[in-house]
Amino acid sequence: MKLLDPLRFRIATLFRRSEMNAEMDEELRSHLQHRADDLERSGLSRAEAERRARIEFGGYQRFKEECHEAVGSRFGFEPRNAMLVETALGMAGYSGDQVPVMQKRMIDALETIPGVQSVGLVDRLPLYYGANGSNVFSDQTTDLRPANTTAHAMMYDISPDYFDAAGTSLLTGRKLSWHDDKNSPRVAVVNREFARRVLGSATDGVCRYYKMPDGSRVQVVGIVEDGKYATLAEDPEPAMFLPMQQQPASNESALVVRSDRDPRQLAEAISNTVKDLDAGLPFTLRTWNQELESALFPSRMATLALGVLGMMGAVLSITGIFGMAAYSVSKRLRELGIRVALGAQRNEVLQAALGRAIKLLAIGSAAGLLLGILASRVLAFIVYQASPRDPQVLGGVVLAMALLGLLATWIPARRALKVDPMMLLREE
Amino acid sequence: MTDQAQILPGTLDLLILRAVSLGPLHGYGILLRIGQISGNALLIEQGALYPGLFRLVRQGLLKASWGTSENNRRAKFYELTASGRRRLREETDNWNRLVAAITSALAAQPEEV
Repeated sequence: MKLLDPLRFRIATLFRRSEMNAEMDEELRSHLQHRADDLERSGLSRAEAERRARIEFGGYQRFKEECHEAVGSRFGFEPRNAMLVETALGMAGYSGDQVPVMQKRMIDALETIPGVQSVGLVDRLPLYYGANGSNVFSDQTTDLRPANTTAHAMMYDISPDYFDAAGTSLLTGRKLSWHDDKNSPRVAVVNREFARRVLGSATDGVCRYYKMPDGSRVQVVGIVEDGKYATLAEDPEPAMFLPMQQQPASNESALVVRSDRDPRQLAEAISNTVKDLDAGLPFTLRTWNQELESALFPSRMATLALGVLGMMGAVLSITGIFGMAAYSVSKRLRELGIRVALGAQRNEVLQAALGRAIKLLAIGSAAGLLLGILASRVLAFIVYQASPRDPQVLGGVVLAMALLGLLATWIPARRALKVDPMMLLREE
Repeated sequence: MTDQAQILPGTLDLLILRAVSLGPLHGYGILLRIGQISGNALLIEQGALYPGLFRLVRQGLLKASWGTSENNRRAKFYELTASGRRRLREETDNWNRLVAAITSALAAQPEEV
């Protein structure tokens, strides 16, 4: 099933987006009608009122984009307008306490570049070849055995401005601050799923506590939106974001630099800034989109492979149907000739030649459809968040199969219609 | 039109929450209600309302359901959730504090400084 994940995600986003678009369209239509009702009452004709309402409302495309933006990023972060600086501090000889000091210096320096809005640090980027995680326990748990785990949560060590830089929305509470350090109580920001599963409420979790496997209590100070962490197709996973100052230093880390313009314009300034701090520090610089491209490469390939398989299936069914129809036409060519000679009409000829093929095709399609509906549990897993009984899906399948069948019977049908009784009789 | 004021950035959410707190409303109804409770002094762009609504739904402050409007048309109605009600209370307090502070700052006389 893992292989199907990318496809599942592809279809899911497609469906969610089209569902959302349809709902937005309907809401917009309702709005315009209500506005037009009001304008009509003030004495305008219906047509004029509707025209005026549309003009007043303004740009449709912008409306849609802004609404999609408001509903949230599909990753739980926004890769647009973000550059990633990945440094290898360990390779440059930084160790122990030097690491966080250098990380803080880099953040401070990058923040001063004109055009940069915020800079955040994370030990491991989401959707980047696996993720760190830890068992967590509800605050009431006293026996911290793995069997008593409340949830397994993704774990990220971040700097205070990471959420701003990553474009992750804070839903309630506060973000982390530089004061959340080793001398202050342990705190975390968690995602909604974490709050729901571990704290018992997705909206009221702020200020509550949970426990780490070492027994330490951690207070939740904020809740952020859910995101994708290990794979795109995963179900909502709990995640916790811990202040890097309260965590052991990590040599491998990425800086997220968010700007208000195409971040590539800042590439030179960013790389000069890092070189000024330490000319011997190896680092890579790319946009978050480029990073995602390579992280998503395997799943793209799998999607492509599945697509090719599907195409081959379709080609196979076309040749099968074509072969069957062509065979039945050629076998009965003489009979058809006689029928034509006796004055059979075009549709009668077609029925005689292809009736059986089409009947078989219809039975096959119906059986396939029925099995598909019966297997809806399996399909629901593949077509996530879209019911396989969705009339759009079913209609699409039926239409596609019917078109393929039609295409495959087209040539044999033409041949049956062109039957010339004289020629057939002469052949004898 | 001349007496209408553009709303301050960030206050749209507060106005929406307040309008909806008086009873479930559809999008266009929210615009009318804001106009009505502000004595038609506040101007909100029609297109700007919906992203705000969607954001509030996503934050769990509003919930939406489809129903039939007073004009007998299908419409999506918004109402406050418990956390929306709480957020409205907090934001109202914040706003009052801010207004009091700015009013007193603007009213300060030279001899008081």
